[in-house]
Amino acid sequence: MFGFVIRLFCILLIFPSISSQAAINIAVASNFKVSAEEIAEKFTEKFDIDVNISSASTGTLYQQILHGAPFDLFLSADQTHVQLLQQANKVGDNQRFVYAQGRLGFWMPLAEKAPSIDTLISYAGRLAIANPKFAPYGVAAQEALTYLGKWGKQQYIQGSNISQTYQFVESKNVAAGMVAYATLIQKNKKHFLLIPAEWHQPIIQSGVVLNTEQTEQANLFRDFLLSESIQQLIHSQGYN
Amino acid sequence: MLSASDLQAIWLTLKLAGLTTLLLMVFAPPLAWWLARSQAKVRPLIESLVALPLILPPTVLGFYLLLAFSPNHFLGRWWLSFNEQSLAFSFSGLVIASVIYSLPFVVQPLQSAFVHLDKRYLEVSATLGYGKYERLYKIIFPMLLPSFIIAAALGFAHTIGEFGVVLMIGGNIPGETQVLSIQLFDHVESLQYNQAHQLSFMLLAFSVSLLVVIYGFLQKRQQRILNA
Amino acid sequence: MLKLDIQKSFINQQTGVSRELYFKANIDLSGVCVIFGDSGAGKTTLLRCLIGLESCVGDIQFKQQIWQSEQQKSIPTEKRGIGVVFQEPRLFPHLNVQQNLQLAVNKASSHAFTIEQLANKLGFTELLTHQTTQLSGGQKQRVAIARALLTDPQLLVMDEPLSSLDQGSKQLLLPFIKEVSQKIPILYITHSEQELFYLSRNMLLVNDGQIEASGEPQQLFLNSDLSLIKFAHQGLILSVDVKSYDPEEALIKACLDSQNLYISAETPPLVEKIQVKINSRDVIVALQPIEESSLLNCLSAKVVGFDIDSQKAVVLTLQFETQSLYAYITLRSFNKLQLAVGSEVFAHVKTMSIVN
Repeated sequence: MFGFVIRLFCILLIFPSISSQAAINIAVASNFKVSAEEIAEKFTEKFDIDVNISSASTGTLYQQILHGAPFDLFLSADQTHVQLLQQANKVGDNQRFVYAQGRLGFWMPLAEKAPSIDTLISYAGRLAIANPKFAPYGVAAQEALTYLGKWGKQQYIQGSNISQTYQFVESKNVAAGMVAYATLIQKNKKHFLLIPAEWHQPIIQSGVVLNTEQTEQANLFRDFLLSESIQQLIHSQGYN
Repeated sequence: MLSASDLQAIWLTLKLAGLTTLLLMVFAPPLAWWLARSQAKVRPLIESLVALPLILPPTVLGFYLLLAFSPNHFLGRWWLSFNEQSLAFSFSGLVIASVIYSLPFVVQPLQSAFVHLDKRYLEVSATLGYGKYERLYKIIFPMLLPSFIIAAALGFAHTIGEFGVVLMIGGNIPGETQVLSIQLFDHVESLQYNQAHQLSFMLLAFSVSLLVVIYGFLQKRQQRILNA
Repeated sequence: MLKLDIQKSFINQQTGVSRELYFKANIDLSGVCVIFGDSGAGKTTLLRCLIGLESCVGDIQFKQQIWQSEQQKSIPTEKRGIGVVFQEPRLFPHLNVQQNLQLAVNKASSHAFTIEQLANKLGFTELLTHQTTQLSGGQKQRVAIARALLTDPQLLVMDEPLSSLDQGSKQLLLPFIKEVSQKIPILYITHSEQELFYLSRNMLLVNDGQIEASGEPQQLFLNSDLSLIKFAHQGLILSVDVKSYDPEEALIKACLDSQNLYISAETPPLVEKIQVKINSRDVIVALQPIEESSLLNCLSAKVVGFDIDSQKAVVLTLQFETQSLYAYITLRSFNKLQLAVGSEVFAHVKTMSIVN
């Protein structure tokens, strides 16, 4: 029995190193997870290279990469955390790239029709947003609300990332929220308002190839991601 | 030193843990007594349900609570029939979650004490003239006081350290649901390591000293009494 | 008067054998009533039913109070006003001696005894502030007895309270219990013959889950129809009056039904009436007094009965004026002396022990 456990343990230790020969590991900000999975599928089909996707909030992924998590490519929801990785010498000479620009949507699932700007301005109930201290979509939401002059005038239910914020609204625990426009498109939701891009700093979702042994494959994925057809796909999913 | 929002989070956490512990100390003892004494067929099932939070990921509990609190479900609807605000993202919601989540930590030390309590002490109490309930609170409670303190302390400490559930159903509202562990998470996520260190160290020191008191003193004292 | 008519059936967890106990008795409550019987006879179960710690079917009535009957809900233990001393002291381990006693005082309606009085009498005044875990077995049991008395009970029930105690504690407690029994009736379980004869003029004989007989111990020990007889045949306890004590020869001169009896004793007796136990095998029966021998005691008696056991030994019942004695002799001697009911004999007693 004990011998079996040891052998199993050894296999488990070896296993990731075997697979990493053939696969690349990508850390994806949670808002882009669904899109990333679709793109990865197409990528594997074309190049016969497996892709493992891990998603979490940008901040969490940043912490993990900083402390040596074995990711080959990082797709952040902002620019800041990529810059921080550059400063921390985690990316070598690899340049950061912009793969999408996120948009915010004001979503009121229980509204009778799609909310207007006036609805947003007059809405005084509890509002779900991503944490504006560190989540890129939260920062943008704060900026947009500040632009409207209503920041701080209502209670904010903060998700630790934009996916959780979405979930707060979907479970109907909050009547309205500032969520990722892309998610609303992908989930075929109604009753939302696309927040004009001028109301907040652009949510520039940038990525960077990390300094690992798989740089070549990671670069291949990056190029694929930035190729015209995939960029079109991303655009159709609610990103600029 | 600590920022105003840190202090607020600490105060909120103490309030949450205090209230949770108080509630637990009201109904965990009868439950533990029943679990320790009952021969009923449903006892193993109830015991398992009580112990569930020990092994269940907090996120599972948080997720289901979030669903239960929503107006789509019975509990949420019922609550909203006499409350303006939903249970989710409210202090009351956190209290409910904490009570469920910390329940095994309070029930188990009590149950263990009740199991080891010699039935003959109850008999003597009766012959001294103490009635069914009177003998419990006038004699057995003082006798098992160390176990009650252990149970309360573990429930309190566990509520203070609770994170996963609060993350799921808290919504990070300052003064309402932004407790210490969430505040700590915020500091780390927003790269404020100094503040994170301060809060972490406080939590660590608190937890260690509490456990030392429990295992180094209270538990020994209780064993001495129970083995006499 | 305590009236019992109860039944209790239970199944032994280990053997799976079910057992039926049936107790019926009217107990006269003055002084000590001893419940006597072999271990396993059901004495403790009887007592526990009486206290209300064990459920049973039937009626229990104490004086005018109905503790249990088929018509009404039984009165719980705490309302029966019984002071209980268990075989083991059962002091609360988290309290000191004083606090243990105070628990009893707090619930007592009146205070016939005080803690100080009892502590003084039972010799644990200096232990009052001690934790109970620091006490010896004898000290604990003394505290337990005091605790039971401080509840101001209308009946005191004791379940072999002295069985695990040293001789010193017994010497202290037996007279105390006897003294208490003048104020509070006591039900006392024991299988010690000494305690029985010392404490009581009234006993219940419990055998195989039933009350086999009740009455005066002297008489029950002579009744050959009872289960007790095998035990009684080993020797009987007689009550004698002390006349004088000779310290030089260390001998008590006593009187048994107006015949003289000499008993060895290291110290002079403290009371006028003492109990002595005479083993049946220590009695030599002769048709004439044996002259010029070392035998000190020669008592004239009458054979009132005999039994021949499986080993062909004969147990004679010898009667003095009021009390009786058993004597073990061989069948051969019985035949040689041509003994029969009515024979006048001389009983020579080799040794005897003082019970109290």
